[in-house]
Amino acid sequence: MKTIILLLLVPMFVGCATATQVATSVAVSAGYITEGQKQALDKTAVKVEKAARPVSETEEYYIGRGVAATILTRYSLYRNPTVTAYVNYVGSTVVMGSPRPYTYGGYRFAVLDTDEINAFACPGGTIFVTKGMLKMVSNEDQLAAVLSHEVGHVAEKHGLQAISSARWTEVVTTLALETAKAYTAAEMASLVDLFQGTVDDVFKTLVVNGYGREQELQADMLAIGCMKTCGYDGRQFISLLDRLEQTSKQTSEGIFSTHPGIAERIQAVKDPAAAAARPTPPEERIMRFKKTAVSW
Amino acid sequence: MKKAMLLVLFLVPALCLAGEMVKVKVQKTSLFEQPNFLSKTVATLQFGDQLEMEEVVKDWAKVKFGQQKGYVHQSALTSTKVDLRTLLFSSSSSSGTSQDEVALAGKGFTPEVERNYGKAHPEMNYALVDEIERYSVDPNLLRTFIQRGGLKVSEGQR
Repeated sequence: MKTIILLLLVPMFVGCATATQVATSVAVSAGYITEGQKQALDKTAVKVEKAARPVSETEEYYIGRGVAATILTRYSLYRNPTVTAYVNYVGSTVVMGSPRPYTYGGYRFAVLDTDEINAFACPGGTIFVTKGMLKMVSNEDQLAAVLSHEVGHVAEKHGLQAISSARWTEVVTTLALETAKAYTAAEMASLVDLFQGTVDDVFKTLVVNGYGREQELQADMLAIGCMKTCGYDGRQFISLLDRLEQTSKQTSEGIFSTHPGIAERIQAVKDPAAAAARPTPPEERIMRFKKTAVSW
Repeated sequence: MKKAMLLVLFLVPALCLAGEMVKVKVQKTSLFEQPNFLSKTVATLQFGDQLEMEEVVKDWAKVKFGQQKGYVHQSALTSTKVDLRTLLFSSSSSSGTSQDEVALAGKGFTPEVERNYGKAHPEMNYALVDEIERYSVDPNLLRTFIQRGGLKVSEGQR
């Protein structure tokens, strides 16, 4: 009997309702379970299947676009081709050292025209860094540190973890899972509402509340790993955090309202950052930073 | 018995790599000559392209695409098979490669949902988001940027 129950549970928990229905039919025929028990198990299998589906990578992309569009209602885009190109080339370099170099739509880096010191990683790979943050970095390696940290949030899908599980369950139960179909006007209206709620969940975490302590530390560790892989000096990550900590004593706006505990972060990454030390960078790296930094 | 079943759950997906058909789950990626981002691109792959898996080299998959062979980073691929390990042990919104990302592309939050959301919220400036996404990094310039900056991209990250 235990074996039968186990066999019924396996398809159910791998999210395959159809396989569960076949198994329960066989179990009814063999007299192991009653028709009532079969119906209860089938219903549970459907529920488990619906709740189990993670956010797909295309959904992550559209959520990220919604979050980016929301951020752009609050901040203006800084359209300086030299700065945009430089940030994208540094960003694309560190992406190749990350555990998730490919996302559905790819990574893009953009600059926000504000003196607020901040950076945001939208799900799917659009990463914003403010002019205020650019002014905080002293060299290319520190810029790489900022962008690597944000890439770490994307790689670990931290933004998606902000989506309330109740809302996601509602999203999945609203959808037709087995066959593609055209949504009715009411279903579409419901999906649009849920989409808005989902975007708001992520936006609030990114811009208003900030990530949790563990997520920040995880992104820091990934950033050190990215920097090490690409040949950037991990010690510059600490230098940047030191500078941010000093600045946090003068202001509580921007990144300092969502990223408390900088001193704790320094302690946590001090050793791995030291282990990722690199020699003095070549003149080319130093000069291209100086040449671009005059524009921000 | 239970131990045997668990062992099967963990071993079967790992043993079924060679010959397995996998799909590209990102809009665009490269089929590289070597397992290295800076190596020569043999072909450009699009979302949904089917590839035959030959072997895994660290984070790269050696694949066959029609008559061409090369390497694709695994983060750009999805399996059509169900990975029981991920389904059993991952949370609902965490990263997971267990689902067939290509099959799911038309479900849930789609371009149609985004269009309707944009209509309901005209303050959302999707034109700016499109502008950001249109920016593309030239692979040759990136290679030069990395080399002249004394940087590197090692084979098989992590």
